[in-house]
Amino acid sequence: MTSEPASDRPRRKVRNFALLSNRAGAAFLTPAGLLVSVFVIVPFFWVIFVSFTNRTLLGKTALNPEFVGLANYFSLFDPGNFLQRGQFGFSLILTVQFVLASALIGQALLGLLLAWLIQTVPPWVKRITETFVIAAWILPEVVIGFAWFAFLDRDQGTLNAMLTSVGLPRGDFLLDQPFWVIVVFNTWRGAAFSMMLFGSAFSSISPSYFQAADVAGATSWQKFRDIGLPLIRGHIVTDLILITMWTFNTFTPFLLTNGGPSYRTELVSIYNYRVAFHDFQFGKGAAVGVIMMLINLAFALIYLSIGRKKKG
Amino acid sequence: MGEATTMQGYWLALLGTGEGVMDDSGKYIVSSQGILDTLNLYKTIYVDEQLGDQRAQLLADGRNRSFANFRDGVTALLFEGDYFYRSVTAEGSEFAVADRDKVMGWAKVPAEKPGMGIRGQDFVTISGGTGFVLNPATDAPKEAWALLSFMNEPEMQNAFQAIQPRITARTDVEIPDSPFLTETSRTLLPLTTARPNDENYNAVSAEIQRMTEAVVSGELSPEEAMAQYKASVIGIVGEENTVSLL
Repeated sequence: MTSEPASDRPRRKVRNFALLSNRAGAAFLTPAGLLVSVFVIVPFFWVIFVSFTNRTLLGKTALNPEFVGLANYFSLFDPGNFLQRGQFGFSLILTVQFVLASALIGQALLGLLLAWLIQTVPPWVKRITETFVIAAWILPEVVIGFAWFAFLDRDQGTLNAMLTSVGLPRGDFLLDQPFWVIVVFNTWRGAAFSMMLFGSAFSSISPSYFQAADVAGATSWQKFRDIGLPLIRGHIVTDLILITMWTFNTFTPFLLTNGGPSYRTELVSIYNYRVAFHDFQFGKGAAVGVIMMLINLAFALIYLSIGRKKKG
Repeated sequence: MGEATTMQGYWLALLGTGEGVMDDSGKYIVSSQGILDTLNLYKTIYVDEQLGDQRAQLLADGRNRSFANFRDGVTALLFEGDYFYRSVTAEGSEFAVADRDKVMGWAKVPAEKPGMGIRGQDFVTISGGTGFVLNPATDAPKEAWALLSFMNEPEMQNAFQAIQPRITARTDVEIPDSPFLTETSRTLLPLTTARPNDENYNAVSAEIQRMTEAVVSGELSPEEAMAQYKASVIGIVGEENTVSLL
């Protein structure tokens, strides 16, 4: 993925700094190269290979898996049950909705809003806000998962205690609104990244632009729309692609809902986990993994091509 | 969701209709009056009359919630195995029931109608869980057999009972200090059945859980859930290994 595509343009010759001889350089690279091949490259091709077999953990196909061609892929895309709950298509569509709602709308918009608002507040408010938002981002996942589980519990949960204390009805959030729970959760969890990225993008804009706008009597919204947004457009694209990839692969909602109830929060990563490590169907699980890799690859290619365009 | 959903729930109701998950020839039953009756029982309990705690069936930690409900006196009746007595409600455990020998009782699971259960029984039950088995591929079958024989001698079994009282396969080994286990095993062992010894059972069991959950959550009607089960099981074991009784 890192190799540049061949191009007709004449290239500048890369000057070779002779820090080490070629041989010594190769010798120093070998240990790292071995590690990468054993733990990254070999498993990568192994997963692709396994996805063409009916390998399982239990039963006779554990010892003697057979080559089944594309059968695993066909079973994932079986039109008879593709969109049923607990099947691949349902998970895929759910994940798309999850990415749209929690990453593109939730994290990016909230991050943008926070980044813009804290440009103008007193420094101490800015620091406190940043601390809390970033804390949500860097805390360990298990701690976060438990905290949210305790927060949302119907009987003992903090949220219900707060709601009843102001006279509002209690809710059974994890059971009745599981999808919106994980959307809000992921928005809360990831907004920090967008906020930091947009924040530094905003502060890289020359203050004179805003001063001139102030003199002309522009409102905050006008400054945002006509100065802020156009100047950070490149950052927004980068941000959207990165958080789309991360959200697409995220597994943390599993800690809140286990993918349930009734598979209603089973994102593809959780579906992949269930097929491979709960049902122990390694072949089918590997096929899901390969499809996820292809989707990620597509995102990564878009991301890289945009990065290249920016440079050129 | 897990095997407990299948074994300590679905199986008991299904056996009460006179059917098992497989028929006598080893084919999975994918469509039958027994399955429908069982699913309708779930519907009655969890949807129509709301007699049971639907949340405990749907939430991720549902089984523990059902134990907590029982301990706290919220739920009066659970379908469970001897494990519930040996481990879950035992003194010192998280779900210990205070003074349980006085406040806790047990009853056999009745068939849908008297005489309508599996093998014409009035009451049904199912066993299975821990076992010591000989690997057919072992390099040392004689030694393994000798070890198993030694472990199953009355003397060893009695010593094991002293550590952990549990239902025993030997009639000449007593369960010490446990009137409950003695009484249940005497009553239930003659009635009991077992799950199929089949490599596809786990995958089929997962489909059973999906089927009951769809009914309990109100997502599907019993007929729709059974149709989905039928399609899924045929996908797992092939149509030639299934049988439709309707």
